[in-house]
Amino acid sequence: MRAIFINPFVSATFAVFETMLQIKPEKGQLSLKHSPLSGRDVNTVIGVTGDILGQVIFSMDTHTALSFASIMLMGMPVTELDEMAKSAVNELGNMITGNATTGLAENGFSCNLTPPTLFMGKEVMISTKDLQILVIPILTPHGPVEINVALRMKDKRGE
Amino acid sequence: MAVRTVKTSALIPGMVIGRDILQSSGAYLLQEGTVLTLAVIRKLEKWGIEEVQIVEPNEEQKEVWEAKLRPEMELSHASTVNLMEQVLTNNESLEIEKIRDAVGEIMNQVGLGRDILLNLSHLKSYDNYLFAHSVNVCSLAMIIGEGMGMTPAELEKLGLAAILHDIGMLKVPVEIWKQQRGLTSEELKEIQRHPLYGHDFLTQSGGFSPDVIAGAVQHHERYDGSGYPHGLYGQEIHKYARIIAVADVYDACISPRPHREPMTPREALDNLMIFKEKYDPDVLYTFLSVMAVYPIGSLVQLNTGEIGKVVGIHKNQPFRPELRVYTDRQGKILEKPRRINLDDKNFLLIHIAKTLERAEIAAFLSKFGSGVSAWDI
Repeated sequence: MRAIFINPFVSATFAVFETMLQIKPEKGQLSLKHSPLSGRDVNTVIGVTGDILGQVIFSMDTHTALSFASIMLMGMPVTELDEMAKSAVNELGNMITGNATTGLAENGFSCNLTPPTLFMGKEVMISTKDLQILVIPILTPHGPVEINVALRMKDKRGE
Repeated sequence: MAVRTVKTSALIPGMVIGRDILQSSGAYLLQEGTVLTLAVIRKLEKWGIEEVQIVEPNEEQKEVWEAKLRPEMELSHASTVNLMEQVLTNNESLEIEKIRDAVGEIMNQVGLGRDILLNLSHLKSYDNYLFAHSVNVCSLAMIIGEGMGMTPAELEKLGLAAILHDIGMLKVPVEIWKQQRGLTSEELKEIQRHPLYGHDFLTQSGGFSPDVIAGAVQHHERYDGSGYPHGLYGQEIHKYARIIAVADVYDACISPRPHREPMTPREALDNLMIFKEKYDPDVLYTFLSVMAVYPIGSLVQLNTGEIGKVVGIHKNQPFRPELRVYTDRQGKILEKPRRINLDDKNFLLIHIAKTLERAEIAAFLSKFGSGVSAWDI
C-alpha cells in the first residue's frame, strides 16, 4: 500500500482530533493484518471509490467513543451510545472523510468517499475482500483508536 | 415520490397534495398533485379532515413555505405577547382562561413551525421585554418538554408555569428592573424576591394547580443548590422549574437588555454548558438534542468556506442542521441564499467548521446594510 494515499487519512484524523477533541494524538507502530478484520466495539467504516478502491475503518472501544461524544456534545456526560452520541461519533467520521477527500485530491487522486457507517460490537467481522489491512494505531488520552486502511489502486480494467 | 403526513391545522398554501383524498363513496375530494390554496385548506378543515399526505418538499420549496408562514407566525407571536401584557397588567383580577388560551396558541405555534418561531426577529426594544420573554420561555419550555416525551396535558401545565414564571416581577418597582447601571445590593435583593411575590400572587388568585405554582416560582432554584429563594437541590426542584430554568436563562441571554448586548445563540448555549452543574443534566441533554450544538440563528462557516445561518434542526442530529447559505466559497454574497440540509446524504462531506466570532459576524452582517441583525436575514 502506498503512503501517498494513506497519509491523507492519517493527517485528516490528527487534524480533526486536534481541533474537535482538543487532544494531541500520537501515532503508534504500524502493522499488517489480513482480512477479515474483527474490530473493537465501535467501528466506523468509510468506503472509497474512484482512483483508489477499498475501505478505511476506524475502531475504538466503547469508553473511548463515549468520551469523544461527550467532548463533541460540549462536555455533557454521555453514558450510552444513544442516537445523539452516535451522531457525534459519526460527525468525527464525516469531518475526517471530508478532510481526507481534499488531501487525496491534492495528491492527484480523484476519489469519492461514502458517508461513514457505524458498526457496533466486537463480534462484527469486517471483510475487505482479499486486501491486506494496514493498521495505524493512534494513541489518545481517551484510549486507542485504530485506523485500518485497506486500499489499492484501480487496476487496468478499471476494477 | 416521498410524501409526509401533515395535520390540516399546519397546512400552508403552496404545499402539494401527495395522495388522493377520497370521500367514503370513493369520489375524489382532492387529487394528488393539487396545489393548496388558503381556500382549499379552509375546505379541508370544514370537511373535518384532520391530516393529509403532502409531497415531501425540496429545500427550495421549504424556503417558499417559510417565507409565507413567517409573517403569520410573527403576528401570532406579537398578539400573544400583547395578550399577556393585558392580562398580567390588569390589576383587577387574573383572567386564567385567557392565559390558557395564550398557552394553547403558543403550543399551536410550536406545532406549526418551531424552527421559524425560534428564528423570529428578536424584539429590538425592551419596553415589553417581560411579556415577550414570558412567551418565549413558554415556547422553549414546551419544546424541551416535548423532547422529554411529555403528554399534551403535562405540556399545558408546563406552559402555564412557564408563561407565569416572572409574574412576581410586576411587584418589583419598574425602575429597578429597567435599570441600566449595575444594581445596588438592596435592589438585587428586591429583584430576588420576585419568585416569592409570584408565589403569593399565584396562590391568592386561585385556580392554579400546585404543579403549576411550583414550576413557576422555583425557576431560580439551581440543580447544585446555588439558586434562590430556598436553595433547593437537585430533584427537590419541581421538574417544570428545572425545564423553565434552562429556557429562561437561554432566552434572557439572546435578548437585548438595557445593560448589555444580546449574546449569539451559540454564546447563550456555551453559557448554559459552562455552568452545567446548575441545571438538570437530563434537561440540558434534551435541550441539546432539540436545539443542537449550533442553535437556530447561529451564523456558521462550512469547511468549504461558505457562510450560512442555522434555520432548521433535526432532533438528535446536533451537527447536521438545515442551513441558509449566503455566500460562495470565497465569501462573496450570493444573489439568492441557497438552502441546504446537512442531514441529506449528499452533503455528508460538508460540515460546519465553526461558528462565527463577533468580529466576523459584524463584518458579515455589514454586507446587508447597517443595523441588520442575524435574525433579520
